[in-house]
Amino acid sequence: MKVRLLHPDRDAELHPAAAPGDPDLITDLDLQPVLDLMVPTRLLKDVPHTLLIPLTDPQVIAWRQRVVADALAHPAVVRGLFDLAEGALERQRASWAAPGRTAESLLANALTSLTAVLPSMRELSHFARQHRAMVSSPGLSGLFERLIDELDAEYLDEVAAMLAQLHSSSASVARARMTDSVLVGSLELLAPQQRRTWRNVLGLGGQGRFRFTVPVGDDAGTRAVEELRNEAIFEVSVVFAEAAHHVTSFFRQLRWEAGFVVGATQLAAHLTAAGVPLCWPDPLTSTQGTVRATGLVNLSLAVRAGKAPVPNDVVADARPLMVFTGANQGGKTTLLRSLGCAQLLMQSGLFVPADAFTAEVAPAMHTHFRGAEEQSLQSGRLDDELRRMSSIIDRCHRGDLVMMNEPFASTDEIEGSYIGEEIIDALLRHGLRVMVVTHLHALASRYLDRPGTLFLRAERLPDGRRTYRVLPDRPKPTSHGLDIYESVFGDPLAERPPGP
Amino acid sequence: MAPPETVGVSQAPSVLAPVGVGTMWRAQPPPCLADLHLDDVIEAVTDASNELQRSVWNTPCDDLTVLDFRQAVVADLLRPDLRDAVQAFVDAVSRERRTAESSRLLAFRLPADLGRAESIARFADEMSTAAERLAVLDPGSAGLKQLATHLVAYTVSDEFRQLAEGIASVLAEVHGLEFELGIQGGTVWVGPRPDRGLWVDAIRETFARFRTGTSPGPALPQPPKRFMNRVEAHVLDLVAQLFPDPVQRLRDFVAAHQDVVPVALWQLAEELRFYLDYLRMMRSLERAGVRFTVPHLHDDADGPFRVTDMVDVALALGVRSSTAPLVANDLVIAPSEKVVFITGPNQGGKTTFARTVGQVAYLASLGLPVPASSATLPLLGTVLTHFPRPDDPEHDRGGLADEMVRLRAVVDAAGPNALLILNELFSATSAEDAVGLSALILDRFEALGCRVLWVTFLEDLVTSVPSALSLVGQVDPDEPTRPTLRFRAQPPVNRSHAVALAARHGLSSADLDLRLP
Repeated sequence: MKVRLLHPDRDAELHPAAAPGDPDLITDLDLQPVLDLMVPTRLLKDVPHTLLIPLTDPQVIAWRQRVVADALAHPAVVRGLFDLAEGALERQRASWAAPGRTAESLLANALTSLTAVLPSMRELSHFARQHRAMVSSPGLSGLFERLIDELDAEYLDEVAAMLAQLHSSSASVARARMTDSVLVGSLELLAPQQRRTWRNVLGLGGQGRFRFTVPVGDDAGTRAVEELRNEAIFEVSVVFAEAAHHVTSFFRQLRWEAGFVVGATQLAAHLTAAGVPLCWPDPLTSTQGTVRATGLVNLSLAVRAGKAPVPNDVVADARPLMVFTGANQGGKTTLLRSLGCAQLLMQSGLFVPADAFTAEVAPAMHTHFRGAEEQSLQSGRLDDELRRMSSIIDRCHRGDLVMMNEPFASTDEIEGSYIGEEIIDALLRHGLRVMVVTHLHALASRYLDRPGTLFLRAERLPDGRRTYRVLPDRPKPTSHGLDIYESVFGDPLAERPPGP
Repeated sequence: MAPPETVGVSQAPSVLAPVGVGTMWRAQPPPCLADLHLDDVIEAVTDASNELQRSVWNTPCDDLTVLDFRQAVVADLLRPDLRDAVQAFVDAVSRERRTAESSRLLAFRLPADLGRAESIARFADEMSTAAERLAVLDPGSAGLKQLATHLVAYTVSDEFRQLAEGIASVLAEVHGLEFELGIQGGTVWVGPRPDRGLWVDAIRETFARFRTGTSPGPALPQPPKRFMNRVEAHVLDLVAQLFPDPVQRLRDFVAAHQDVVPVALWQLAEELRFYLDYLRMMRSLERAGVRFTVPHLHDDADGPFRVTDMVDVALALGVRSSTAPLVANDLVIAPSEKVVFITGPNQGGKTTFARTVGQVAYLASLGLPVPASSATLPLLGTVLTHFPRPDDPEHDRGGLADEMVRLRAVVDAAGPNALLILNELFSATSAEDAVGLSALILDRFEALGCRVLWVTFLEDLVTSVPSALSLVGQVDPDEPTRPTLRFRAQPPVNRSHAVALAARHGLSSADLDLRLP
């Protein structure tokens, strides 16, 4: 039974292992509030981490977008699917017993599990029939069709009957064959007879039935009979255990995938309530370095603040390198983050908080931001930084997106610029896209004459105020940290000579 | 000493000697085996219960036709394909004999009969295969050619045909039987073959729609391993009642064919194990870097005696997992050198060297490959050793008299084709005495014309026999207290290494002058 909400052709990975760069990605892009918002229930904290597994095929992205669109239009549908799946697993958990070592116990466990979950199958079937007409995405309508088709009443009655038979049978009758070994080999349990009478069962009457009974006090004999029986039912137990397992797996998969979509609807609801526009992004497969965003806002700011932050536009056509310069706290890093989040959301098949967004898909995204304490310390940290950079390099592929925020500022400007240029050039040469925020003028200016570079500068009004808009503009030598100093310390510095 | 006993004289086809050559096998091992540590080797290589193998080991040979015959078999068995085919044949024969033995002990009829029948069927199959394989692989040695011919003759014989076809048919009948087996509580029944379908199929089909193939299966217990238990045996008896005719036919056939392996094949298999077991040990040592070669043998007693890179095979077997290096040595004896003296420092490998030479000679006399990179040897049917008795707490013997008596036995047994290995004679008496006694003994050996390899501390003895070959144990030039365990032909040296050793312990005369009051 296929779920196929998140991918048209395969199951989404459950509880995926974190990639080495994920913790940094989450910290650097400030994704935690977003992830927290997308958690469908307390126990499934890592469902939203599906966000961190990038899709690169536009068809898969489109598939998922359509499912999410359906869900946004009818949130109760996906929520209902999720709750049903959760309910089924609850019922199973409640009836779970530790597996024993015999075929007997394997069979009993499987029986209990399937019996517990049968009502959920009926409910799911009913749910699908009720809501089929409401959905239009191939993902959801496909799933509902399958549920209606394969979990019809007749089938479910058949399953119920089979379970009942297993419950009630006390005799095990097998077909046996004399095989190569001296042991009576290949016992295969027979399907139960339609009419079973007591006489039949005990082998009374009927010709050619030879039997013996182990006397009551004979423990060894009783054990021997048990062993024989275990062998007879072994294969059936295995098949049943597998069946029970497959049913459980189906519900787990359904819960996971529906859970991700539920999380998306939660995010959307929150953003819409905050007045943030949402759009369906358009993924590109070209590799020129193209990003176009209109009215893009920062996702985590929107989530934290509950209102729409300052929007920005970015137009990069065939510009694999983007350099952000300008006033401190002017919104450079925020825009960098916004672009990163937008990329991430696009490649998860979700909406983007913008009026419009289109970008090339990247096989992976890497972030290299300086930590808060690094901002204030000098070298010594350079060593750590270089080590981190190196491990990123290990993981890079062609087409990846690398985002750096104030790299190599822990050393002097000349050295840091040199190191930075070497790295950026190499990345570009190998077909990666780079976005870098820097106040190292020497670094930024090295690219002034290079084609394929987009310069953006944080806007600063003549009176020193920031608008948090980042506009296409060439880098300027100073960063106006004095302004911030002033605003914090309130010193009139008008009589001071102009700073360095 | 009692004369050697014989175990059996064989005129049937053999891989140990050409047809018509009878061999008197010795039941008791010759005394040299203990001194040469070959008793350990034999223990490690052979099965103690295999009397024939042991007797072959106990009976060195000085007949060149027999040795050539055996070396030809060895050459064949060094081919992996032939070796595998022959090993398969030997294993099949042993297995069938073992099963025949053990099935007599089984308590339940039908299982016992079934077991026997299956073993017989397998044996017939394996004999056919062996016959085919050997024919295809076309061995070069007269010995294995005999085996091949014999096998072919056996497998086309009427006797074999009847066996193979009969057992196949009887088994097929029983293996085809299907019946119903029911279990309820403590009651078990069997009945005629049912016509209902299998439950497994029905279950699989019903739940097929949930199987996506991407999720891993559940952790399953192992299928139960059952051993024949009373209940099952009882069930089989019921089955016998259900199908009396095929079961009776099986029973009758098995009863009529208790011992299936023809005597000649059994004999050949046992003989082949002598080679196969040794070659297996050889291969494992080769993997550890020891080299083996089939020696070139000649019947000129004064002719060349050359061995290169020989190692002590008992040491090699024992040191397989230790870190002590095995040191290879050469021995080249000129025709006039009937006596070889070995001198050198303590712990310098003299005894090992002497043993190695003895081992090479003995193994060559069995027709086996020797642990060396090349070897050219005269026929040496008798290897006699005189080593210090191991149960003496010190080197010194209880009495010079005892030693003389033992030596007498050695001298009496020595002939022109013998190799005598003497290790430190007469250490119970003064050096001067010893030299004199040794010279007398040497005269006797000269009269006998045998070869002597003599390990001794008596350098004066060595210099008194100018026609002898003198080998001296070498020491590390940078570290004179450390022997290299290698030997070079040279006159005996003064033990100057002893001086360096003394200095190491602060016992040089200069040190002593300072240390002593």
